[in-house]
Amino acid sequence: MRHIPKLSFWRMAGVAAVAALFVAACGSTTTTPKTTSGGTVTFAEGPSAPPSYIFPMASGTYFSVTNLSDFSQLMYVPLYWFGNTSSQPVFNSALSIGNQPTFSDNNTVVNITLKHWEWSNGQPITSKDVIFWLNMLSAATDPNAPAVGSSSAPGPGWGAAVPGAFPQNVVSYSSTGEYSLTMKLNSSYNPTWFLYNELSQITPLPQASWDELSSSGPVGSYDATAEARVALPNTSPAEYVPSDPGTGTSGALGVAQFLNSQSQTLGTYQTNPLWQVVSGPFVLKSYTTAGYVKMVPNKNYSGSPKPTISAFVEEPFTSDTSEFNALKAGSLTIGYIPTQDITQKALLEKSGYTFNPWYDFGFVYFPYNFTEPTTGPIMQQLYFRQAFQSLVNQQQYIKDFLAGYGVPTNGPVPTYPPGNPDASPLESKGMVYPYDPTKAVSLLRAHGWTVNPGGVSTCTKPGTASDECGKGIASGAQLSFRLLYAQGAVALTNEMEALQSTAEQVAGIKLTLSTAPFQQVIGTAFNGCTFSTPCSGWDMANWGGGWVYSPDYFPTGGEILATGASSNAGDYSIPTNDHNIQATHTAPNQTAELKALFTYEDYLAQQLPVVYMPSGPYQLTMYKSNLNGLTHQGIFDELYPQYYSFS
Amino acid sequence: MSAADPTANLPVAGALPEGGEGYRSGSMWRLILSVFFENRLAIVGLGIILFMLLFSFVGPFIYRTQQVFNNPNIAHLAPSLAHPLGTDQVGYDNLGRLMLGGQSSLEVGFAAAIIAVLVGVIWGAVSGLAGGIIDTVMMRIVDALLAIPFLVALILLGAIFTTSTLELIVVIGLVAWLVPARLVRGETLSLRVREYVQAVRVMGGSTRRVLFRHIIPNTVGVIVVNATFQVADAIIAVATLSFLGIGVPPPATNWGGELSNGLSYIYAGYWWLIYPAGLAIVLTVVAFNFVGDALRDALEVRLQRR
Repeated sequence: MRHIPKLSFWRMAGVAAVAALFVAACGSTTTTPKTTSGGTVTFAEGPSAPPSYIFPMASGTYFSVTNLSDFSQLMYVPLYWFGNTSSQPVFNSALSIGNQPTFSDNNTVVNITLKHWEWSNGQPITSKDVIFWLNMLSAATDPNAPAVGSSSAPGPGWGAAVPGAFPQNVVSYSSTGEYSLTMKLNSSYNPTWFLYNELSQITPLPQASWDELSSSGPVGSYDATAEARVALPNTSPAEYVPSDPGTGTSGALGVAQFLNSQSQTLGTYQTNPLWQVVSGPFVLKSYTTAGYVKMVPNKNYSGSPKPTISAFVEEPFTSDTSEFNALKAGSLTIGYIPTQDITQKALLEKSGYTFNPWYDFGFVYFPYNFTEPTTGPIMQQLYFRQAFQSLVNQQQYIKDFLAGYGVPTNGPVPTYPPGNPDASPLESKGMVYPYDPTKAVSLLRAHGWTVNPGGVSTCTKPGTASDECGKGIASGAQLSFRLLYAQGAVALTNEMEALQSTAEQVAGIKLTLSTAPFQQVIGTAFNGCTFSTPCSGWDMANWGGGWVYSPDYFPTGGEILATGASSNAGDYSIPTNDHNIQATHTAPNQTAELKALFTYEDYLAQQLPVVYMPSGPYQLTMYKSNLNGLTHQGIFDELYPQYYSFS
Repeated sequence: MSAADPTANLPVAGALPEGGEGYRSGSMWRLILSVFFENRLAIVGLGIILFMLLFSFVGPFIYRTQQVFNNPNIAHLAPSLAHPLGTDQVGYDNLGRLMLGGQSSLEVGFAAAIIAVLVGVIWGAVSGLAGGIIDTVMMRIVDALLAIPFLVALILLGAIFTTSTLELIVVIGLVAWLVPARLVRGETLSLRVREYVQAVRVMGGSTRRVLFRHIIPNTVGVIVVNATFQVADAIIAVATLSFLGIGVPPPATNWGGELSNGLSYIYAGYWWLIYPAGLAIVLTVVAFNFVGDALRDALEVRLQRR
């Protein structure tokens, strides 16, 4: 899912062994401090990025760390939890509602059993609550479902949806007991991938409280319409969708749409009884539309450990500068140092804070809008993307804007820390397209462009031959693009200004910059832009981060770069890439799995489906030294306030 | 003393004329200028405005810097002979940046003030002259818009329009016309019952003639004074918008944007990114206020010494 960098940027990779080594290298020798219960932990939200969606089934527009990992997941625990307090990107059985699933029948059947957890209202969390999610997800991602509201997409959508993947690769699912269910798959799948990227999408929801079509109507079993499934024609292996997904006002789709509309009514969060039924360690106490969040412990939380703090507060900020002022004033328990203020680190440490960079498992990029009718054909040309990437001076951005905290991004799989076995030799070796302005100009000239450094380059040799501009590019077309980016983060602003300057000065690529709050940028970029429903309002959009691999914890990229994926912002669509991604899903063993992953990432390291930007820590965390439980931070940007206590 | 003596109207030392102190008579504009230049702060203000205009618009021809393409390799350099006010976060020369920012700030300031005054004067004069239901409706519209906080309206409009210098001018102008409209409407109410206005009407003069030949010219005092304050207000407005991130996109800049950028580095000690831009805004706004005050003194009949 997407998020905004706080201070600078984010992302770090690591599989369990590497992360463990890294943690060990940090010298985390700990002694058990004397702790007290109670106290309020105040956590700083990202600049101009307050949570704005509470329903866990978030569409692409709301599919962000801010809304999910740092907000709704504290109240609604996924069926399978990934990540732990040792910063390892692994399945965490202890924090999951479900036991580890088992696969049978040549990996075509999945058996799921639940622990005996309860909702905050005392009702048991049962297989019915899992099927409630599956029914709504099936309806919301059904390509044949009726459009809801003004959206051209069916239902409210799901940010992790990939056509042909979950739940369309599920032939049927049914309850086999109060705490168990089974799924039949349409093919044999790699169990690692299916657990880490497919089952990981499930969040049990309180069917007995939420299965309604309006606030005034009774709770029923409206979602059941979506349980019967039919195969989509002309799909191989056959893909399955609900035989009756419902409509915007009936059936499973109607329920999903009702909950979506309630989630969009921000002003009612703290009074709406829907959101008071939770499974997680915290329950919402107060919320303002400005983004102030106060959660208190869910006294009926079934997991362990139970929260000991009395409240967890999230504070909104319009900029990283205002956040840092609050940090300096000592009003934050957990905040971050913007990179431009890194010189203040020692001073803050003297005033009772501990410095702890927060690394995560993802990569930083921003997308091209390939569907844009005018500029899309230019960005579809590989030579253009190679030229543009050659103008991104990642090393300089790291040195001058990220205070040295970061590494260049070479492809879609994280390479940091060094030695991540998921990163291919090509990615680990270094950048395929390092900063090289001369090469950028040469590439453009070699493909029919008259380069006008300091001005705007134009296509003077239209056509589809190898030395011509390419398909869909007319004579006189200009290299002029609109680049929207998130406001509030100084490092991001500096990067965009530097890129704008270099691109125009060297290659005559004109970038017209504009800024907007984080939510507005992702709302623009993830607005269902496809070649059949193209978006013309933007050419490139940078929300300041990229992607943290959650809930696709195995970094195969299907949720962001496969054709038609909900979070494939600019609709990058190349059959070879789709085939490579598919191969990672069906690899029969670990060796084949790694080989398929390398093939996938090497291809995209060269194809440049997005603009790769430097990756660094999610944030340079500063936390009050008397706060326990924050030695390790979530590698998927998730929070663990149930572990916090004061000493 | 003969009747032809040009000093005949001057008071004789030790003897005051009937009615009090008297002064040499002259044209209205000479009198206005005389009163204006008696105000030392006005002269200081005028000097500062002239300096800022020269600094912003002539300065770049003398002190040539690269203000289109940045150079992060020389970011955050402290003031030196090569860069008298240092460099900023992406390597722009800060003195040159200040000149460029001044152009934008002053352009927006003047142009937005002109729009505000033009719209406000016509709206207020028409409302005051028409009277009745038209006046009521037009003034309630003004009242309703005035009830919206200035900053909120600016932010709202700034968020709707994409920001360029032209759009900033329009946005600020659209918000700022309300005050001149009220002032001119008040003046018009008192002018429309004057004898010369009545005379024009009796002689068959059109409403348009009354408005443009007799009402508006006689509100010029109010208009000119208000226009100077409008310029100052517009400069602050553009600085505020830019400070809040709704300014002109790079590589364009203005003083508010410069100040906002500089404040991000306040803890890094880069004072040269903060003080010059802040000082430029304060000095220019204060200067326009000095000039406005002096113009009011000079144009306001009750404050004139005659």
